Amino acid sequence: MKSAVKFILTRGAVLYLALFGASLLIVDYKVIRERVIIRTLNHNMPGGFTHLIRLGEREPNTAADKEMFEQYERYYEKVVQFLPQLADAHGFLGISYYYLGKEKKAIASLEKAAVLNPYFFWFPYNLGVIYYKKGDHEKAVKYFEMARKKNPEMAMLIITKSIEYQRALTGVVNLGEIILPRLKAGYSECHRLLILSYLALKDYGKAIALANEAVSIGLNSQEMFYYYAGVASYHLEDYQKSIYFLQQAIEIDPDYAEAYYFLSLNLKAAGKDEMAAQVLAKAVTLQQQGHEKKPKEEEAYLRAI
Amino acid sequence: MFKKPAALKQIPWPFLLSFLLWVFMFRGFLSGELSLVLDAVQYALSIKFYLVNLFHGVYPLWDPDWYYGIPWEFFLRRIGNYNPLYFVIFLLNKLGLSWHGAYLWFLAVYYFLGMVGFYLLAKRLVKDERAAFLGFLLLLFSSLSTMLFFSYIQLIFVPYFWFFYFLVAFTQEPKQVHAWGLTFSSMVILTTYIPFYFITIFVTFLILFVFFYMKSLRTIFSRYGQFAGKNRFVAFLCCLFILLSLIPGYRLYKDAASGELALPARQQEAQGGNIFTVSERNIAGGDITSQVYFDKLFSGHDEMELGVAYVPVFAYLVLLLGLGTTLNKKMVFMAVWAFIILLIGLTTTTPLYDFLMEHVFYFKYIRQSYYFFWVLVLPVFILLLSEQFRQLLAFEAHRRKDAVLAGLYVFLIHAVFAVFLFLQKGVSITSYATVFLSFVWCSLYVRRTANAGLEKFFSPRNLLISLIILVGIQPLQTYLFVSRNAFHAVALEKEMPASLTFEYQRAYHKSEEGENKFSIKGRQLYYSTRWLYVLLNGVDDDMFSEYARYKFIVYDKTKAVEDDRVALKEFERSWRDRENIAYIESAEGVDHFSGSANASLEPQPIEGESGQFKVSDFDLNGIKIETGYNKPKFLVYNDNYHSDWQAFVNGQRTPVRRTNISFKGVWLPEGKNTLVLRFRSPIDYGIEYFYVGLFSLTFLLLIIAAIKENPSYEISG
Repeated sequence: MKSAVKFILTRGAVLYLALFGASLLIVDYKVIRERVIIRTLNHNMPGGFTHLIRLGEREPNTAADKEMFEQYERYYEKVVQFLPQLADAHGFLGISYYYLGKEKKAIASLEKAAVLNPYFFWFPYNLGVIYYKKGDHEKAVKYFEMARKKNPEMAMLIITKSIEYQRALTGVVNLGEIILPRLKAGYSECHRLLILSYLALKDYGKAIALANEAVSIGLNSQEMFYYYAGVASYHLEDYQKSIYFLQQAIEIDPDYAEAYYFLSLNLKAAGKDEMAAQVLAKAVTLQQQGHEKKPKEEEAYLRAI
Repeated sequence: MFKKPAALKQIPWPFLLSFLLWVFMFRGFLSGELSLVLDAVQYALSIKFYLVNLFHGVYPLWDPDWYYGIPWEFFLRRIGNYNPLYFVIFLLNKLGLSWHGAYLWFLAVYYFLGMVGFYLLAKRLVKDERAAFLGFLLLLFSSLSTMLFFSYIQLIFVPYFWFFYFLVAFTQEPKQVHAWGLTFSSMVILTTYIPFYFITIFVTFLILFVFFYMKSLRTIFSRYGQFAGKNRFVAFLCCLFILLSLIPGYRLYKDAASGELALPARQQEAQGGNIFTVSERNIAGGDITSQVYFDKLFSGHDEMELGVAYVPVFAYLVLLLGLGTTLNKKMVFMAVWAFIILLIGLTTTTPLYDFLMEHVFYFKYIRQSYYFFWVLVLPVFILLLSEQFRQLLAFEAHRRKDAVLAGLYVFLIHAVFAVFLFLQKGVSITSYATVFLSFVWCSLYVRRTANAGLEKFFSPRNLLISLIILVGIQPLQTYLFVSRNAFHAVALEKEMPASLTFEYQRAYHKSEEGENKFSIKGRQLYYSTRWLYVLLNGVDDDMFSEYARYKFIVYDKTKAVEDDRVALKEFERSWRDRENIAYIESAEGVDHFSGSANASLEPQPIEGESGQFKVSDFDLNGIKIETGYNKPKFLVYNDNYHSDWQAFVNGQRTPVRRTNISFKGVWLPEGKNTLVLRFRSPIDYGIEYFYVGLFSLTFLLLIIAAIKENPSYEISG
């Protein structure tokens, strides 16, 4: 027994263990960890965050720069490795994964972000966009519903206070003037995609209710919501209501080709063939003149702000 | 039949092969295709600057191009200019390589020389050529190599390795060659960069040595005494040379405390009279964990860059296999030594560092504590592995049961490590290949005793070759990634101030951003005179730029302003208003020529050669000017003032005044004059040349002693 103990105590492993044990007593590993984090993150810092914060801007849509998104991926992977509770880092990582074609990882990261910070609008919104683009409208509805219920003031607060948002927005002037309109556009987009999802699921009643809500709370592109309400009503064969909504849309935007088109369908269904033909002709003319300016159904972008 | 010549047998082929492999791995850098970065660039330029000037007959003690002039001793000490091995660069250049190429190949050869020193040290310590060779390979192919192109640390660790080799060799076997080697390496260490790193390492070594080897001290000192008794003159010279080599560092230290210089980037908000004092923020930021990247030890090699910690994967296998080897005093000594230095390198995260800061005067001068990792912790860790490997090599399985158990142990270790690698993200294929080859190699090795064929296969030469493959295979891929991720080269050429033309005005142009080239703020300076720092922080950028474009300005009057803050305001206003007054530091110089009653309205900037003003000679350290004014003039030379500047008018010494805050001013009498301004005296230059000669002589004595005492026993292939 004694010789066995002696044998064990004279092994090389004991030396390394003893030194490691001594280091636990002497070295402040917490400070070391902080230093390593700072150094590693600084080392992996991307060349700029413009591509990330400008996501979703339709002109130009800057989402395609693979090299930049690889940098974001590398950086945010390090951030979440060291600071796994940082919801915004998971959120940014999810966006980066998505634009690098790693959809499963993107969903996992965004879900994690949404769990860590359930008050933030953009996490469920981005999840909704991913599912919407996949054609999984049920899941898209789930996340868009989640998103639209988030408090925009909370989103504003999170963007201006959280670590990674602050880093990404360093040097951005007039931050308040940028975030607020973009948030409003985000809520508007959320309602649009949610209505489109309901339309795809043929839940026209909910689509109408949402369109009414969007109009009542003053979201951007009111004419578009009237239009969607008109489309949903048409599918419910409530032509009177549909005509009303479409007329409202046309009143706001007299060049709204798609609204004219659906209006013609309603008129035809109501037996007013001549008038329907005139309205259809107007729709075709507007389309030929390039007035088909509303976002296309497949248009949906992930966004950071 | 062809018979191999005896001389060929003497060539240490495994070492040459390893070096060639290393050269192949870093061919992008050595060919100049890939760029040196950060400090490596500045040091390359400094060494070139020194050598070019030296071989043009100018010993560079002043650089007029570095922020309007600066004493160059600081840079000389940083590069350790007395080291005669720098002449290799000159030689390679004369042999036809460009300066850049010559410097890069010097780096490679110098690094290899350091690795040979390490091998010899390892061989002395572990007493096994094969284990020492493994240590040599692990260090050669570690990322210490990458520091050549990233830092200047090779100037530090190469003499360290040789110092410790000669120290151990001299202690074990006192010979003249070892004494001269110890002396020469000490001299290089004491005159290169800041020797405080070495002092810390060496003092720690001594304390531990006394603690661990108390009983041997008497024998060791008796051995030293016997050597000194038999070789009195050599012992005297060695001690004298080491003492002499302390003087340049001491002089720099005193100059740094004189208050005439500034190192703003280093000092920041540090308190203390010496410019080398480092602020707390810099100390905390210079520790091992803040500066060295350890996240690519096992994986992520495709993102590997210069200066990231890395050792070939075979090192971990030796470490794991060696966990079961027997501990000995030597291993404990080395491990504790490295551990203490590691703790020091972690700076403020341990109470040890606070203690040292409080009680050891020079700790406030150590900024780059992470150097301890590269120059000691990593090499000593590899020495430990070498010792473990020696024990592993000594294993002999005389019974079948032993061979089976050893085989199982080998399998277990390799399997565990392979699984560990598998769980990492982004492990290179060569890592797995190494694990596999190592498994095969070890499995065969443990069975060699019972198998004559295997015994032959593991002949000393074959074993060394197989080690090159085992160690080198992964670095081959890793350094390919390093090269891929490196910057492509930019020209490493700098116009030498010793060039043959003299410009009366400084180049003045706008940069791309529209900012003025001269408008550098004091806080952005790396190293300058203190007064330039004050000046740049105190006056308007545009005003300064407009003023400093002229190297010479002639005034009629001077005014003494002792308070620099007042002087700054007066100087700024005066230049804007084109007042014909130069501001000098003390009242002494004002009455020299009582000013001039017929002063012209404005100061006269010198825009070029004229009948009244001509620069007739110049070099880095001085300037000769011919003047011919019809009344006394005060000449301001917009090159920084330093108290070691001397002025001679027509051969007569005349005072040099600190003028317009930062520059030099001299009164000139009316009529034709020859003004000579010179930095330091001929004696100072004589001393410098003496040191260059002394170091070369010591190196020569080392070579002679080596030839005489035939050290060919040390390296064999």
